[in-house]
Amino acid sequence: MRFRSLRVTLLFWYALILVGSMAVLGTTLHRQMRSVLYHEADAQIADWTDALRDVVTRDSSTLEADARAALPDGVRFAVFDASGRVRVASIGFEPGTLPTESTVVTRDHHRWRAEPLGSDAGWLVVGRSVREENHGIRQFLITLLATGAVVIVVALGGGYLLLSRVLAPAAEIGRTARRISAHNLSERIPLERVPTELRDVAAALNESFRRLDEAFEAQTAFTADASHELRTPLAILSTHLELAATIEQDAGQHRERLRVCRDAVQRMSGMVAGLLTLARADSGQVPFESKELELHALVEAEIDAMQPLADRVGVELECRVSPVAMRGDAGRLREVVSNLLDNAIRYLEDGGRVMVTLDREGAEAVLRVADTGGGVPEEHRERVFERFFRVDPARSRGGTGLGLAIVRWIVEAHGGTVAVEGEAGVGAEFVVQLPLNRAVR
Amino acid sequence: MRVLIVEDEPQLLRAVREGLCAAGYAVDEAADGEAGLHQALHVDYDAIVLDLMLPGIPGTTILERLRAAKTTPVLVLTARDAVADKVACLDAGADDYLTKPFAIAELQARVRAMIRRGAGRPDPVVSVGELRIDTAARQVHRGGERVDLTPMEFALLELLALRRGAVVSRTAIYEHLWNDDAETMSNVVDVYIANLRQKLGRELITTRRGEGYIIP
Repeated sequence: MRFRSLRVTLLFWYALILVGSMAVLGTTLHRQMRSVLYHEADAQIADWTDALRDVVTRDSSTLEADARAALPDGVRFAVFDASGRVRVASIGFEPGTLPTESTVVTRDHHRWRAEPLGSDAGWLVVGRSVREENHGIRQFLITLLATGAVVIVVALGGGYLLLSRVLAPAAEIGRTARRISAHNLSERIPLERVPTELRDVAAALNESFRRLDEAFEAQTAFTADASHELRTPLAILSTHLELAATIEQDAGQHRERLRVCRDAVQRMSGMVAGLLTLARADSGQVPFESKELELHALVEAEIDAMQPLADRVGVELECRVSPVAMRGDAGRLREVVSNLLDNAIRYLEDGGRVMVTLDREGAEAVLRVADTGGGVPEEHRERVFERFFRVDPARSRGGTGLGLAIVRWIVEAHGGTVAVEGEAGVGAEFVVQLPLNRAVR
Repeated sequence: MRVLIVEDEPQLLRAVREGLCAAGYAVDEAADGEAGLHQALHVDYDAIVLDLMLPGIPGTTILERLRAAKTTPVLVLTARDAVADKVACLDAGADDYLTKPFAIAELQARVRAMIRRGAGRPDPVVSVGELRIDTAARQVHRGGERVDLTPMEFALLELLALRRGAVVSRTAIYEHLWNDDAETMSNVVDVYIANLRQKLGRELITTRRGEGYIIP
């Protein structure tokens, strides 16, 4: 049987077991009692049979009177001759068929004993009423049933209370869990107050709360970071627009201000585009091409494209590439190269140098983008690939803060890895390893 | 009034500078925490506008170090709008804060208010005799009639009026009305004082020989 409620299930089985035990107990006791009482009756009947046999064997003419005298009142008996005719019978004796064997039977609230009278000399049948015994047995059964019912009701009631007590800690855990999920995910169910049997459940709940809490905090931090990153270009845009509307200036100054506004808008669009890319990446809905491509040509093209920016900020770009052919998404890989270059150039002071190398090492293409900047401290090497993570929060340098996160996503989708090496203070070296013979995700 | 801006984002620095110049302040700027703290400690500014996220020294550290030495009013610019961040920056010694993005007009108003509070005169209108000097609207009325002043004349009048009753030295006037880049002639203060007396009455500003000027 299956019930929704644990309490009902337990009580149901509890009741079933109780009723079963009571039934077994009742049946056993009933049989035992009847057997004891009938045994006594049977012993009496046996005595009377012996007495009757004595009377019959004396063969007197006053057999009926002698028999009545030998047996107490109320004893029923009959003596059959060999032909089956009744020689003598007591009052109330119902002439039945002639017994054919020695038996003791119960019929019509009487115990009957039949015995042969010597060989082929007839039969003796003696019986007595067991109404009193049967009545006693019935009384006993009724008492047993009544007591049993009371015991079962009391036991079920007790069981119910007991279950409530046992289930109370579970209900308490439920209440605590509900309160935590509604109000404060950093709270935990106090394990020391939970019974041993329920600790696993409470611990599992606590673990879920921890994960939820972390996910929630990461989400909050990400939202805060995203809004923070958007606020600076937004502030530039809004203040310059306000000034353009309030300050007298000539056309040249106006154009210059509009250029500043355009840069701020471009920075914000870059950020929004990056966020969108990563949001799509998270949903796993971005299809990647898997086509033959020449990685060296792609890297060289991106370096050429970055040259104007490098010239503008006075950074020297160098490259040494070996021919590498692989399968992959050319557009996305181009994004990897340009983001790494952009990142390197952006964080270099004037007169810095960016060195790009591409080699084939075994079954991998290895792209290195090294710069002569400040490098990445050991403790931040994993985190630089996180969204909006900045080694120095104040140095945004106009980047979106998403480039390296996008790089990692694309590289990993190609089955590769990206890491940052190089000594802090000497320069950073971003190393991308891409397997050559692997279908894109 | 002289204001220092510490902001590392060049285009935002430029916008704030232009906004504060338009409000008639002499403006100095610093692009990082080191320079900002150095200037804030060595020049007697009327107000400081400080970005909280700076390369070098963080804004909160600048605030704490500045507060150990000076009471100059500080308005913090921050991109973080969580309550905890606002509380932290106010508790570090900021007088006010603005969350990016902000409006130049609000920045100007908050700086004006800070300067008034710093001078101990929270009322934006300072009355001297029959003169009403409205520091918010940057207008002067004499007996109900508006008097036209140039921005520099107004700035000088505002400085003297906010420090009414105290002698303001010529050096202090130079320090509060012009930034370090300004090329000023040695007698320019005398010229502005003369103009103010001519427009507002001779008895308004008293000269204390060898000390400076005072609106008694």
